Amino acid sequence: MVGFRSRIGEECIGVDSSLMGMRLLVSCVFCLSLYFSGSAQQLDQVKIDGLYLGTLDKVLDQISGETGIKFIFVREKLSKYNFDSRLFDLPVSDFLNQLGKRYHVKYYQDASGAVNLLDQFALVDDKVISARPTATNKQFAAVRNNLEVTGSIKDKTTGESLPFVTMQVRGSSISASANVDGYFSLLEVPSDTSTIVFSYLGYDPTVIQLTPETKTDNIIIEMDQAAVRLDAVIISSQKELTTGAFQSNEKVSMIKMTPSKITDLPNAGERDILRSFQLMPGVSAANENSAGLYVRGGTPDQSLVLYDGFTVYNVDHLFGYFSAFNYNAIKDVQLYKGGFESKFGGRISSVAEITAKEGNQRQSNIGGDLSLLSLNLFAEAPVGEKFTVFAAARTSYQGSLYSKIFDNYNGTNGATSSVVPGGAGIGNRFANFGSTVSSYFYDLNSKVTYRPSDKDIISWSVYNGTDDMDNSRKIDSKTFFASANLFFNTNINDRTKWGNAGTSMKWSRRWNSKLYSNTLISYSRYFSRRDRSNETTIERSTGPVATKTGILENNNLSDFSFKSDNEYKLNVSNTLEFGVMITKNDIKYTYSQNDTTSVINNKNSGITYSGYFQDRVGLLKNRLMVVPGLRYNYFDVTKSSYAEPRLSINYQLNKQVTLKGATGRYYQFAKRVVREDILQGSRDFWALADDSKLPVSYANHFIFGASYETGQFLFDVEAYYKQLYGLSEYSLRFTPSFGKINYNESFYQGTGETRGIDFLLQKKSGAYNGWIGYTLSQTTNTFPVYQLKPYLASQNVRHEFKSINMYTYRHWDFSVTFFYASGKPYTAPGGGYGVTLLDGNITNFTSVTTKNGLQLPDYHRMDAAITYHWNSGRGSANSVGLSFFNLYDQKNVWYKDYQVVNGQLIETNVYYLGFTPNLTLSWKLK
Amino acid sequence: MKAITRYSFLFFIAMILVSSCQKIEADAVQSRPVVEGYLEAGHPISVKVTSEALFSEADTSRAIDGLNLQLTVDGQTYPLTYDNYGVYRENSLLVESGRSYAVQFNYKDKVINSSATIPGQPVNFQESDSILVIHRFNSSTGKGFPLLPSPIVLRWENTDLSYYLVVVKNIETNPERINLGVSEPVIIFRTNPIQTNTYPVRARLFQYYGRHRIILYKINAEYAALYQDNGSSSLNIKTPFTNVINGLGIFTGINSDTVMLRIKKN
Repeated sequence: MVGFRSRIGEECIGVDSSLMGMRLLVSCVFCLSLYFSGSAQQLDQVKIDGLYLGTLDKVLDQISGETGIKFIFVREKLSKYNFDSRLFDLPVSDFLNQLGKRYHVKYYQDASGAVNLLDQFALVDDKVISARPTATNKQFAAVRNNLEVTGSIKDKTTGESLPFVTMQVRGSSISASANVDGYFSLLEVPSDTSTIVFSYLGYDPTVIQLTPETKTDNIIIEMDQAAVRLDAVIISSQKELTTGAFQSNEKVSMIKMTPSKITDLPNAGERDILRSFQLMPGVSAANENSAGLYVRGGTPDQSLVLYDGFTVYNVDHLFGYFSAFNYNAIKDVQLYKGGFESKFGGRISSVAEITAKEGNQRQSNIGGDLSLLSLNLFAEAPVGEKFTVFAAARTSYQGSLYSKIFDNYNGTNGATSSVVPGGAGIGNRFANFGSTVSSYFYDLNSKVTYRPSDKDIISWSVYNGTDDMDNSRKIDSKTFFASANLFFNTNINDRTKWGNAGTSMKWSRRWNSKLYSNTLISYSRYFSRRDRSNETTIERSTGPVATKTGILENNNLSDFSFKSDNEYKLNVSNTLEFGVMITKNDIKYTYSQNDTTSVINNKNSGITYSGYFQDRVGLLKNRLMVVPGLRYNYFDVTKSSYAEPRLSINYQLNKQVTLKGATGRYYQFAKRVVREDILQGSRDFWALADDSKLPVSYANHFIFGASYETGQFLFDVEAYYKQLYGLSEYSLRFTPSFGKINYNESFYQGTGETRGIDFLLQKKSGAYNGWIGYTLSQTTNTFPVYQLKPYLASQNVRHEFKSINMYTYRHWDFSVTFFYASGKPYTAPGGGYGVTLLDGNITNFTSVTTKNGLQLPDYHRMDAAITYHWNSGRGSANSVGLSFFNLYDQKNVWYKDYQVVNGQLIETNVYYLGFTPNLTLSWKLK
Repeated sequence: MKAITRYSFLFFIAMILVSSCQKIEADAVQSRPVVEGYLEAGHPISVKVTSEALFSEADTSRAIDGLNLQLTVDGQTYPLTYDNYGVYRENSLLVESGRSYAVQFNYKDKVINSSATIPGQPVNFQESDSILVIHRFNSSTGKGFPLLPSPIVLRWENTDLSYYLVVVKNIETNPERINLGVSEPVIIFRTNPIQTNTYPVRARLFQYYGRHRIILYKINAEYAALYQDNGSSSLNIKTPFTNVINGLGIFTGINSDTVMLRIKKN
């Protein structure tokens, strides 16, 4: 007999799981027995009376026979419980509630009236698994010992390879994790009758029972996506992927996410992976104007974002409201909040490693999302047996939601100021002329994967995304100057366009069970153009002559990289990882005040050569994992070498408690520098360090933490301390109307320090699940140009609390999230004074308070979402989601605007987005 | 289990201690003295001290008298005498180029001080012509500006990207207007600080006929920094530049050279 599980709402046929064969889905504890009886009844009106004795499944049989109520339950599970009670006129609903309390089951009555009893808590219970009669164990005696098991792991439905899956031999400390291509090698498996458990976030754990006949080389493990409404584990730290007994490849400060699972969370227009990370402690959520990652006091430019191996230099769409990544195109994201391994370099705060989808290997499919903001479509197909193709495209359209966000950032519903401020983000406030705005964003993702053999994968990934914010005004009238016999025609340009394009070609090969290599060449380009100018066309007899006056700004960055990552497994408790990387950066930045006068014309290029080596050593029967590593860089601009020693340690104290720590040195050579511009808004640009005016930044990380995990709960705490050196800020001391400025004089150097502690308490499964997170932290900077003493950094958030709650009821998902964050520090005008200049004029100055000495009001916000899921006739999962951003319309202060009028200071609050509903329809053909 | 609980508790206490933060103190808001000291080569010394007007107290700026200002040059200290309107002087001492001067005084329990070096005089300051002919016109008639003559080009030596400032001033007692379409044009105009060795003074900038004094100031970077705007929102606001420690304003050295220019009708 065969058993299979399906999602709630679908009819289930269940029988006996003893003959399920080699592939046991652990969650087949839900294999359901189906009973047939009468029509739907009101459970509180049907009463039972009598003596009920025996195992629980038999008792339910008895009640079903007496009342005609149909029960659907896991016979295998309930047969282990004994029931012995005399019931007196007890409504069936009360009886079921008592069962719920006693045996941790819940029930619901479906449309046909059948009562479904669900075990929601012991999803992966080791005892249940071992109690299950495993015929293979009894029938076969081990033939081989100390063997190697190799293979690859795929999604059962689509055939997509699954990266970073963890696996463990049951009852031993032998464990491993798959690589980014889904390949795995498990060495020193005790015998060919061992049981191996594979775990991956968002998927049902898969149990493989080896037999002497089982092939152990190049086996393919297929994993099934978890039924999200039963056991939603949407975002979690790596540790709690695993089930009780076995050791995972958990890493300190790492968060892992499965993008397909973010559909049920609230959003303000787009389902966004980087925004979703902000739900976790340590990643600040109080930055509505930047999709970039503010991780543990770091700024977005200090975070390395890798998309299929190439670096993405700007992650913002639409003023930073969303990230540049389309969740439909992404398979896996890992965020290292600090203390990351030697494999990664070039940034001093954190690393987000994004793996794009390869495409369906089984069948072609299309699907997409339509929201009030954008249209998002994807297509995937196998081509022959060895190729897969995936493509996704997303574009905004100017609906009401788009306009609302655009207007919020353009100040039409904010302050009265015409000043263009801006934070570190690229999207800055435009002066608004009441003109018709034409702007959009789009992105394209595509990937072609070729598998010439079962040991090789060659993939070509392309990303292209652009934002075009055009707020220009065209003046149609012409002015005629009779004296000169000329026509003048003036247009006001106000246009910002930025984008990323990147591509990578990767060849992965598993040479044998011990050696795996991954070689990649990539190109990444970032551009940003800003035209805030008046364009005057003079029509002469010889033809029109156009001149531009105003701000013209251009930043172009290119990154050519070669990278080779290798992994060599010496034995089950010792893995060597080593590699090289060469990156050539070319960065151009020009800033002109009109089309002839160049204020800054900065071109630099440099090559960074890096090599790394690290050893993943398991000690004390692999309970203690020690990973010492060294990354070594040579930067040809400074002609200097930079060594980055790193160390991370995990110690599994017992089944529940893990202690962890990491430390290391981190260097950054390409830096984003904020150029403060008062009239047109601050802008940022990338530049290469030169170690004179622009120093190479570096940081020292110290992280220490512990986690306590049970079957249902995870409690995780990590304390961190970071020292930052060689930070840069850029400020034009004055705005010259012409002439050359020695722009190097305008860079200022400083240091920083961050210390904090992240707490996470997560309920991992059940109809209700979610987590609360809290971060206590302080980030300070010391820039002598401002003041000699340390001051709070602009991104400092003292307290940050998050509560994420999700509840599943049949086809419905409900989620409510709440954020509270201490106000950020800011500087305000303190007083005024006048200075008589050399020409006799008096210039008035506004003195300011201590740098960042004031605090904005605290930030808080509640979001909610309701999602309805249904399956189409073809079995695809569709949904419609209603999301409410800022549910109680809290007016959170983004910044304050000042005007000094007649010696009086007028202060205006500029707010973040208010209540914003959104509707998203998600559909797949298959 | 008890042991785990106990260790966990100790662990969290330790973590909180590790992550406990030093308190960043914000200075109490109080009015600071504003110093205006332009030490010009060849001129006597004068330094003006006024008070900052705080927004929080609906204050006004006013002269501060009774201070004990000390000027130091070459190890010699000279007390400055209060004159009027917040100005302190030492008329017997003439400022010399190339020397460094320091000023210091106490105010509200703080020592306020600053120093500056006097730059050398501009070298080879020349104008392309000493006479410029501009015909009278009236821009309010709708005919716009007439064709104007080429600019007067100023030149000087600047090999080290020093900062300069050009101030042009009409010195006639009752000057005649060039453009009758402008009712009360200014008699003085200036450039922002520049680092070039040339500057074309465009004919359109002149508003009056008669003699003009064109002064080329050689200035220090601290004076150039005064032309920086300091923002209007909490996202970009920053402290206006000052080289006065524990105070506000400017204490700087300047040197200058002058050429004369006459604007004629025809």
